[in-house]
Amino acid sequence: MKKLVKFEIQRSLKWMAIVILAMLLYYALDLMFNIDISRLDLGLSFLAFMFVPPFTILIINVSNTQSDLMKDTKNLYLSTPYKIDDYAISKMIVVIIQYLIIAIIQYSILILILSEYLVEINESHQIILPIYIWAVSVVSVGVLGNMIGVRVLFKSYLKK
Amino acid sequence: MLEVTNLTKKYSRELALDNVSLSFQKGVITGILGPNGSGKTTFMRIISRTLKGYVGDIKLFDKQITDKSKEFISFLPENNHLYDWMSIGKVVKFYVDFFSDFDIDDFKKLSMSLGLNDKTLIRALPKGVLQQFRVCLVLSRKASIYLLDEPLSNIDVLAREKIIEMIRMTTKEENCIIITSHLISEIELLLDNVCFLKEGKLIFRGSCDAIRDEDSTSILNKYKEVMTNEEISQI
Amino acid sequence: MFKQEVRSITISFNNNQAIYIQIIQYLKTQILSSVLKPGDKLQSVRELADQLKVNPNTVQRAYRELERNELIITLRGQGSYITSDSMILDDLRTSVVGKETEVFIEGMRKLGYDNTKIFEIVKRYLERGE
Repeated sequence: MKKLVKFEIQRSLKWMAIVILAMLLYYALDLMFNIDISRLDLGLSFLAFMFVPPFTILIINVSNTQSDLMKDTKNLYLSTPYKIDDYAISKMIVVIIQYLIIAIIQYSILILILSEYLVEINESHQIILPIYIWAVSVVSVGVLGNMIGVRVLFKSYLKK
Repeated sequence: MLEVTNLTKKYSRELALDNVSLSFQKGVITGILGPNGSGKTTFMRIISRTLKGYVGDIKLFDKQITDKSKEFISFLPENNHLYDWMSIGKVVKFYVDFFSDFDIDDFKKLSMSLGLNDKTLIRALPKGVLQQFRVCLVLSRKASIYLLDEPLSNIDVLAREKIIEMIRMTTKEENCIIITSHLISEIELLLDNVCFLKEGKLIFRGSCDAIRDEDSTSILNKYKEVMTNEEISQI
Repeated sequence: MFKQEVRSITISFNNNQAIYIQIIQYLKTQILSSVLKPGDKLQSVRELADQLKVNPNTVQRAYRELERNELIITLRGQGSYITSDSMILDDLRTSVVGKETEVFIEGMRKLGYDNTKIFEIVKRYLERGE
């Protein structure tokens, strides 16, 4: 199963790199344009920063799983000497790894953006905490979404 | 080596395979012939374990077939099964990584005449080259069962002859090759046994030599005869 | 003296007749025309199959049949050899020649010729030919 995990990670490397670079770009732009956090700029760009990375990973994983189970490439993927459970578990492991990476970078950037303003805001924890909770929910929904999505695809494959 | 008993596969409305029973011995090349939709591809996909939800008994080496059996089965599906975005080098590496019986030297020998460049992407390969490449990959595994679904489709006559030759060189006492094809006259010299499928049913099976001996007819003519008469005979 | 000759032939097979029978006929002709001499070593099943571009099982079957008729002898681990038994070879010649002649006479009869006429025609062709 290690091989399956390795394969899954290798094929998502390019996308992961793009997502991470995009997040770093966001941070760079933030440094340049100074978001006024006292008004808690929860504008479109911030929402995008929070939601787009996890959802991109979700879309990539669902699309990959679709090729693995439904398109012609299923005949390559499924001819490998593994059981259904092996495929499902390997995909979930990879999802968790991908999300951990995205989450760590997201949180780090989030903390860096907000830390500039921590000195000014007394009840900083009152602002950071909801953001943390929000971020965790996004990630959990993303991970759960992936797991459910993958499971649904596997189940429909099994029915065929 | 491979025993299929009462295999039935139903899709929501239609019966793709209807009570098919076949056995395949070691060292034998069997052709499964029939029109489009007769169940040949369904049969191949079930044996290769890429399709489930069937009724019936499949035994490999006298034991129930399982997902682990895929280790001994090399499958060439009808359509391109390789990821478009991969390069030739990556695909070969995939086979090396996932199939312990993949013989890289055999592969190099078989694919030499194709002049493949490791960096070329699958999506950039012309159809004929892609088909030959896929055949080389599948035949470079030292499997016990080779399932080749329409290995000769969509390519020119010279490439077809090369592929037939590759299959001929792969056959050994220890393995068993099952081929489906539309191109009966090109492939019949290669086959030891044939079976004809029509609308999911097995309507004929026999040895090629016996057919030629007893009926003084080619496999192609026998096929035409049987398909229009629907006689059920067994040799 | 056992020697193995490498012959390069392209024989095209008839789809209407059992391939192994065609291979047998081909080998018999080689024996009778002395391309394969008594005691000569035959190519291995695999070699002949590769050369004729046929399924090795078919060659195997042909060899087995020739073995059954004692035209070839297979020694374990050493390969197959044409028999040196002159009686068997003579029998082979007789039966093959006999068959050819039968087919010829059948054909001539069908065209309406009787024995005397057949004789005359054969004599004429043999005299004018080489």
